[in-house]
Amino acid sequence: MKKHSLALFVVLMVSMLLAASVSAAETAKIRVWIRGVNDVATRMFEEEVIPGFEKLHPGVEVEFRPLTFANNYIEIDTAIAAGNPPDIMTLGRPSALKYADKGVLLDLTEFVKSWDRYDDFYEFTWTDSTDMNGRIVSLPVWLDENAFIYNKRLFEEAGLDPNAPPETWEDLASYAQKMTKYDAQKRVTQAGFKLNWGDWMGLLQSVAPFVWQNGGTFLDEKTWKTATVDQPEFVEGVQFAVDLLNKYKVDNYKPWGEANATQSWIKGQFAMQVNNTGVLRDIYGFAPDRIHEVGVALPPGRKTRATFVGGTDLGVAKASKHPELALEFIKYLYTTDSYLVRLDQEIGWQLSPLKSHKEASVKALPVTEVLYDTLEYGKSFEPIPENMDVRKRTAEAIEETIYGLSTPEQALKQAAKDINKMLQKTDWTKKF
Amino acid sequence: MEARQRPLLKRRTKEALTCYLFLAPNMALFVTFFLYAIVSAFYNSMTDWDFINPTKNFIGLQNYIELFGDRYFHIAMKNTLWVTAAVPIGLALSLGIALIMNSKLVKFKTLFRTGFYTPVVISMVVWALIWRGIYSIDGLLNEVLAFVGLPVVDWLGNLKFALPAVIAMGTIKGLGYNMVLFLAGLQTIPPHLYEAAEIDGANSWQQFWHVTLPGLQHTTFFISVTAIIGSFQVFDQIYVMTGGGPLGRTEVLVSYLYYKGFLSWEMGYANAIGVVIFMCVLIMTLIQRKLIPSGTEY
Amino acid sequence: MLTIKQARLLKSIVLHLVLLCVLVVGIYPLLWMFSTAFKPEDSVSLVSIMPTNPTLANIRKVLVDYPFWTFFSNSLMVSLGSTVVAIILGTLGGYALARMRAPGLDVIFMVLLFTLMVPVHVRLIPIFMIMHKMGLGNTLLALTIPHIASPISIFLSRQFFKTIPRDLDEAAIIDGCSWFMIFWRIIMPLSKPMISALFIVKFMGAWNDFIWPLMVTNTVSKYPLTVGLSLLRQQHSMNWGLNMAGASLASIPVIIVFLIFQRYFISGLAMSGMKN
Repeated sequence: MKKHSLALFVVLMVSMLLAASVSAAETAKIRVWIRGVNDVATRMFEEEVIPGFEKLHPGVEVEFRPLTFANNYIEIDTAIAAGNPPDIMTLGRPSALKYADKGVLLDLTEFVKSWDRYDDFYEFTWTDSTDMNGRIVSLPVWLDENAFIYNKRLFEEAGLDPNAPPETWEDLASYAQKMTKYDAQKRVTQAGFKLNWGDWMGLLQSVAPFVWQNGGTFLDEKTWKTATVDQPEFVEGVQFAVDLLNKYKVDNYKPWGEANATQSWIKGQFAMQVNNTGVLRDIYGFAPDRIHEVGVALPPGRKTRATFVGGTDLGVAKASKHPELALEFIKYLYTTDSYLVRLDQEIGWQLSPLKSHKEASVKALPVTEVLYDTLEYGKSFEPIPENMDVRKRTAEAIEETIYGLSTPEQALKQAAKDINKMLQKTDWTKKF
Repeated sequence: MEARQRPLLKRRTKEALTCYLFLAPNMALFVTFFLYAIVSAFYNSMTDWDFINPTKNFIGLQNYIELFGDRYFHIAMKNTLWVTAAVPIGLALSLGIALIMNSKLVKFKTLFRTGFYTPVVISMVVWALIWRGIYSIDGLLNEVLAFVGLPVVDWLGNLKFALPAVIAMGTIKGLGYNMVLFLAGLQTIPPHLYEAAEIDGANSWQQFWHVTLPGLQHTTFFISVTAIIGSFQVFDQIYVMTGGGPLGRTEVLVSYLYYKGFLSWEMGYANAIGVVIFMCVLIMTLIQRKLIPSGTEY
Repeated sequence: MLTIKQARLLKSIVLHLVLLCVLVVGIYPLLWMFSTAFKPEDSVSLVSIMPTNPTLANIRKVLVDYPFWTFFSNSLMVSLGSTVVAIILGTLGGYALARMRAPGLDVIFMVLLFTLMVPVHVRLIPIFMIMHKMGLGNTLLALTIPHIASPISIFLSRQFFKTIPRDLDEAAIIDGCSWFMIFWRIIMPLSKPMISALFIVKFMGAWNDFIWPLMVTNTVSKYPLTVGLSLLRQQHSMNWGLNMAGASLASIPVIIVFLIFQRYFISGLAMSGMKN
């Protein structure tokens, strides 16, 4: 009796093991980590996108995990360090090249070039996803553009035409001064033009457009090896941004700022701002009765118009066990048209990198039309792995100027020196 | 004779074995999380490990040489030393409050003690979040200043005041903790010493100087060592309140370690910063030992 | 001239006023936190502690829209688990060091004294890697284990056990009790105040820990409260009502426990200070 049960037990165990290994052989699993998705978008992935893909590819299992904006990098980094990265992961547009530089990402050049959608992407998006050796290492999935947002009611109160937003720096400065209000302690209670503070990234995203509008760049855009932040165009752009604060006093400088941009807008605490479209989406969501007061326009310009375009890229891990399935999933996500467009809207009114999506996007959300028009003037990060370090050092110089520790010329000259020293150390060719 | 010695030996062996058994889990943990960790930190500090890739190349003291010339490290070190330098102020304040609380003239002692101690039990993350509001440009502190006609300041955005502001709110949080320790220390001083001093004609200042302070020697040693070690480990409030800004004015060693290791992917370098923190704490503790000729016995 | 009685009264008033000032500085921030939790988003005042149009919306949002209870139970499990195990191991080890004889105990004690001086931050990255090598990255165990390795609990127990007279356990040895029975039946019951003090010190340490969970956890479902609170802060924006609602909810349990057991908090603290 005892013997029998033992034998039975053994047989049972073996068959279970066999069954497990057989089923493991049959199902291939890919893991997809996407950042910044809200509940609706998460549900869309879980209930539509993934079941749809799994239906087309029987035996394939997709594991989806939404990541928060706050901690998505740490989460991805630790997974990579532990040797277990997700097959598909979202990366911020400026940082994808840094991951590629460390050898984490699969070279997508072949895949992209042979994909019939290649020409459908806005061209500039490829520049940002291509590393110094000409390899495409990531795919833009959402473009996050900084739009010029203003408050029509405050324009009217100040006697300005609410349908004529500023076109030039001079307009911007004079309008901003007209709409700035202070309290008895000289604190700004209503900012004429609000710079988007927060950390150094926010500061840069506020100041960089002025530099670009003036024809300046961070690096020499032919070699990407020399800093140009000490050039007159750049210095002049920084000077204007600093003047807005220190000379025209249209806002208080708040590092590590704590203002809730959406609430500030609703409370009428600022008249004009260049901010990402998520703010716009939130205003529409929180104050539907105030939408008629929201103005969205092309950013002002000087030599040219310009604004910042960031966004999210998809990367495929080199360590992926099923790279071909990962690429299939990407194709599916991009080409099943409605998904990307609807996700754009949920994730914060970001823009699709595919030209053919524009029409559907605009139809769903008319306000995005002006955003698509603005894309033409979009500038992004420098396509080198060190782009964050370049910008961080520049932001420091700008902050020194704001605090009056130094003139823009001096601060930026020193920054250019430091950046050049840093860039000399790197040798892009040795890494691959 | 032999027959009697053997059970004794056996008992001794058994005792030793039991002893090791009781100590074994602790030792396993210490060896892993202290000794191995420290050795590993020292070793990693001499590599170019970047966190993302598992490969580490031994590069000798290069990280330390780089630290030596790293402007941001100097700033972080300087700021950390300022936090340390502020420790005596906190100690003096808590001692003052403890002396008041020890006075026979004070009523509602339990109430006061509970009140002082409540901030201690709150987490630093929460406390720092609250004080971010208080220090804000339209926060409480500025309202008070404006009320008495003083100029308002964006405390955490001001180059001069950001670090003192962060230190001050940390000191306020720690007051209750140190106060309770001092109070306990005061109560161990035998009353007859004061009586004797009074008979000798010592005024209250002399009593404080010759009876109270010597009596608090051990307490002061313990509190100051704890506080100084703590000052090298400040991080939570920086992470919540300033992110190290403005212009690095509140960057401290631990926040720089975190930035270098996890955000900038220079784990080898970050480990070198960790080793420096360790050395600082060690040196400070040894100096304390020398300064206070203690009968501290273990 | 003041009479002695008047002078004493004046002095007493001044002392009370000083204490009151300190009390206000310590307590006002907490009152502001609680009141701001009830302020509607569009009328948060950074000054007043009287909310106008109080609302429960913030609290509801924290409890419903954020996985607050997950954070809470994570914090509770990690703190409770690590504290209990640390105390069991620490008292056993402290007992061995205080009462038993074996070769090499001096060395072990020196190692212990050394570990007391090691700041946690030099060990953070190595422990992070150990946890990942053990396959424990991003688990509650990874949050718990480093708190168990606690020299302070073994050290304090040793110091306390040394003050317990040896006559008791020698009598027990003659009665044939095993070492463990002496520990369990005689030493432990006499050490209740020390253990409750230790419990509080360890529990608070784990409950309020921030940098370690910040490093080792990376999914929302594993966050403890301290890290979970950071989810309430969005990029570049600060909703004070929501943040203070989260902060209040995270603090209320600790404050309640403190108010109930404050005798132990304070005596325990005094003891851990004195024994050094």
